[in-house]
Amino acid sequence: MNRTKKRAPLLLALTAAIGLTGCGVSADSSNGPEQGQLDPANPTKITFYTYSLAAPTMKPGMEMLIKEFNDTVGKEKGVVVEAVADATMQQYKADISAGKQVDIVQHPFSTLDSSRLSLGFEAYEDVFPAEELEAHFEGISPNALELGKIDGKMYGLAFTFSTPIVFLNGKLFEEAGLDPANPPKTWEEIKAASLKIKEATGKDGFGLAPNNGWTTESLILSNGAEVLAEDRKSVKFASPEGIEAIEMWKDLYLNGASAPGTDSEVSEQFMAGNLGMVVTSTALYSGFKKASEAGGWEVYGTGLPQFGDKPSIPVNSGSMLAVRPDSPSKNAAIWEFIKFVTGDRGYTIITSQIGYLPLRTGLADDPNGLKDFIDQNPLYRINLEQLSRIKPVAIWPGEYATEIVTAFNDAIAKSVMTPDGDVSAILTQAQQDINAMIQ
Amino acid sequence: MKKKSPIAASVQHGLLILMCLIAVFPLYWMVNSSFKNESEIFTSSLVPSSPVLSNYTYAFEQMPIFRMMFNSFGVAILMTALQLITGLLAAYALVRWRFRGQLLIFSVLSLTWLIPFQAVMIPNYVLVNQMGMNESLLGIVLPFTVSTFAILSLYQSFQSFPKVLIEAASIDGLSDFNILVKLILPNIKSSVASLGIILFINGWNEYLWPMLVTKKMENAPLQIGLKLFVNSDTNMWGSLMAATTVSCLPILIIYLILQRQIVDSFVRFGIK
Amino acid sequence: MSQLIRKEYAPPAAGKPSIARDRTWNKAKAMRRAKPFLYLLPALALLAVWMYRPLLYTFYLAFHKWSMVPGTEPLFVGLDNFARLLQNKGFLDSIGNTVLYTIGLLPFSIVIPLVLATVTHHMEGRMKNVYRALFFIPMILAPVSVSAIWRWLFHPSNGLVNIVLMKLGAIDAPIAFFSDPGWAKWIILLITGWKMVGFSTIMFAAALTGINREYYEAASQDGAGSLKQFFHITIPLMSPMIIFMLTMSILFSSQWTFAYIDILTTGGPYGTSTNIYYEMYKYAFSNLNAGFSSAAALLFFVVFGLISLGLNALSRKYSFYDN
Repeated sequence: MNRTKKRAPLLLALTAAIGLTGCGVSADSSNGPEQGQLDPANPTKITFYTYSLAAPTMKPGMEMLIKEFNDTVGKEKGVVVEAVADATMQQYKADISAGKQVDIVQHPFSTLDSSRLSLGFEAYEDVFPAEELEAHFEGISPNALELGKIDGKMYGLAFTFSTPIVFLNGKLFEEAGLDPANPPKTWEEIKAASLKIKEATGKDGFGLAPNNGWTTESLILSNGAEVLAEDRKSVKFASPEGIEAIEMWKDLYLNGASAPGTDSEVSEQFMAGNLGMVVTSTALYSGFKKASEAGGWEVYGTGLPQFGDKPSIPVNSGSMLAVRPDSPSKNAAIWEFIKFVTGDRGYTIITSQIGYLPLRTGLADDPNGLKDFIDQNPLYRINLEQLSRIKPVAIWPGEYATEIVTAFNDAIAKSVMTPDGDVSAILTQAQQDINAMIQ
Repeated sequence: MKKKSPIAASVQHGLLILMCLIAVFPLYWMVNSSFKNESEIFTSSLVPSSPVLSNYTYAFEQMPIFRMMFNSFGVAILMTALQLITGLLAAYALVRWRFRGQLLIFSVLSLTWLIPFQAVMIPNYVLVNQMGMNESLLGIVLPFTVSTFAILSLYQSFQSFPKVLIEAASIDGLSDFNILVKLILPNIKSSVASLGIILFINGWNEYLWPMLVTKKMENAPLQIGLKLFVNSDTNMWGSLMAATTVSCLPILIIYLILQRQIVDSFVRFGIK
Repeated sequence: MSQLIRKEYAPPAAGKPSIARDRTWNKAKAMRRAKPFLYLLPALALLAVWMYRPLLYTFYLAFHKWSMVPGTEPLFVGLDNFARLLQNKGFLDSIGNTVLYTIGLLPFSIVIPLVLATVTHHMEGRMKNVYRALFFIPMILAPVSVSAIWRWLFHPSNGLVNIVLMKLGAIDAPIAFFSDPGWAKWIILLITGWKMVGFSTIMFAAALTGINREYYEAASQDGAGSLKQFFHITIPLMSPMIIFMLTMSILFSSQWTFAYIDILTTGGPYGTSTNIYYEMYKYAFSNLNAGFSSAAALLFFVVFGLISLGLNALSRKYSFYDN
């Protein structure tokens, strides 16, 4: 076997050349809050990578949002938004590494830090003028503003997000002799209800996918544990309270009344009318509603269950808007788009068409906003009420964030799904591994 | 010689029929499901009671199927053509002349076959991006312009061609290139055709690289487009099956026509 | 296959060209010397660009840290990637799975096809071709299509498999095959095996036709039963083909399972169905950690290199040709 190693010097030279000529965005172009001039006659084009555009239930709403911007504010000010559907939430990474123009990304929360470090995303304070930021943020729930902050700076503005709630199948509840209008409030009650449903109807009583990746944190936080330490330098989910929370879940999962499968499979089962309760994002509500109407049953909802009398702590799912402007005119263009989609009109569309929470809670009572919608879909009030207790989902620190997410989710899934596994051991090991990765 | 007892015969047939069922049933189920309407799709009926075409129309709406089919054909044909051309030239060189380094080159080529694509995917990805060829057919085809499998197979085919004829032609003044094209090629047509079929099927089924290079449905081959559809749609199983059926059609049709050839080609290249 | 080629159709010995060495530098002679290389040029040049240089570059990257984002450069980190790799639990699990897939595929690529081919060998006529044609279909279907079909068949609540199993009373709750840590990898194995069985059967059937019937006749006359005949005649004479399929199966099983893992389970649940190629892919394009991926590639290049050398030796030792 001959490996011609004499190419090595040439190779090194070639590599150096490639590395140096790598075009475009260097990782720290801090443009300061200098806004460029926009010209309606000469519109600036910006690209918007969105995964909602690839999900059939969310596509029409997102399309509507973007089109409306392009037709109104965009036309007026001179901005054209080109949307790119990113089904796997990986496309933007691949395109950035391919040198393509990626200006705004509908970015999931958990991996924001690694994107910030390696993909050139900027803090809002660094690229948008302070007075504009302040003015725009009025009316947004302060808790919600915190969701995308890292070390005090905002790298992402919550865009499409929601909190987890429990959906109930009214018909199955009634068949089991339970009252859907008086839903379970604690995990104990959830367990009891699910067993009853299974016994009475033969259908699974409860569903929460072990690899869901965010509601898990709600569980841990609700029991008084922490996931990520305050100083973001270590993880702490393997504390006694954390372990206790996961053990409760494991017990629930393995008691014979829980539905197995991924998030989408469990949701599918619920929509088919074969599941008593499911914990998932409100974004799925419109789908659930339609399915229930077709199936002849009613959807009820309730907030996240609590551990005993400790109030539940929901975390956010969904996405935020992360930006990478590389010129002052891009700054201005991007800011226009963000103002629109996170403004009153934007959230009206997002909530009513797609199903996420309105960041601007005042809209719920605004007749020009979402009042009618909320009246017709009272389940949203549950979500809005939970907003007061929301804590940010962990934005994993460092450039190995993706690996950390995998390690965390894997450990949780393993703990919950393995009948004779030692939850404490699995979680402690994972905590050690993740702490090593953070260093 | 084993006597053919009826028991033995029926066992043989039984086994084969079972195998065939296992091989073909999933396909049948796919087609079956593609015609079922929304309420029937979750049942186990073997034939749809009221077949619908809506799944197909939905699939065609959601994906630019014809465009993707065109991409798949383009990729497969280009790859096959390029691999055959480079293979023919290279194999000819190895057979026709003796020269220094022949054994070395031959060994290296044999070993190249074993290199998994994952070992070279990163640099190729970077290179294609720098050349600006991502999202293009050429970008998909470039890393696959040479198939060492093709070279080695053609080498064998050439080996079985009588050398005396070559030498006679050479003495007659036929140029080397013409010897390849006018003398050898016409006589090993069936081997080349068989090889071409295998290369075409491989090109059609290529997965990892097209997935890295194309992310938009319009630029993707059928398979990758289908994958985007598979991942985004969890509820529309009927349409998914319809889309899958359509994705299988071209290759199945080709198979039906050339079936004997195809099976024989794989066999021939395995035996040697 | 390469070894078979070398053995049976060894290229002409390299060495001095048959032209007598002439001291004069003659243009015609130079042309003649260059000709083979000219013909080889397209193939070798393209291979150099798309195969060899990238391979070396991958080895180079194995010692660096890089996120492939333009404008960033690889950073030398020495053996750090390897250290991290060997401590990474997911990676170590994937090695176990890879071994499982490799060994687990063997029944589908060797044992079952061998049995099938032998048992059906003496069939005549048209039916044989019909069977062959049908067996072969899984092989030509594309991975994505195959995955979609099987995903539907194994769907947790509504897939045919669950429906049938429930009806037969074998299980009382549907199994979520792809989300179940116990089942996920076996299903992937099953699907890959399904695709391969037909192909292997046909290969073995073809090899069987190459065996001289007289051997069997002689053995029957000597009183040897069919089982004995199988082990003492069939298998030895089929050994080239068996070893060939063995080699292909061992070296390529991880690549064959790749597409199914990517589409159906993405390595889950919690890494129980992944294999090393999939991990390599994930490190590079999901975690944007080119160095990590390259380190894994380098490791496995060495490992598989050793394995193929071993198989080579095996082939030389055990291949039995009817000469």
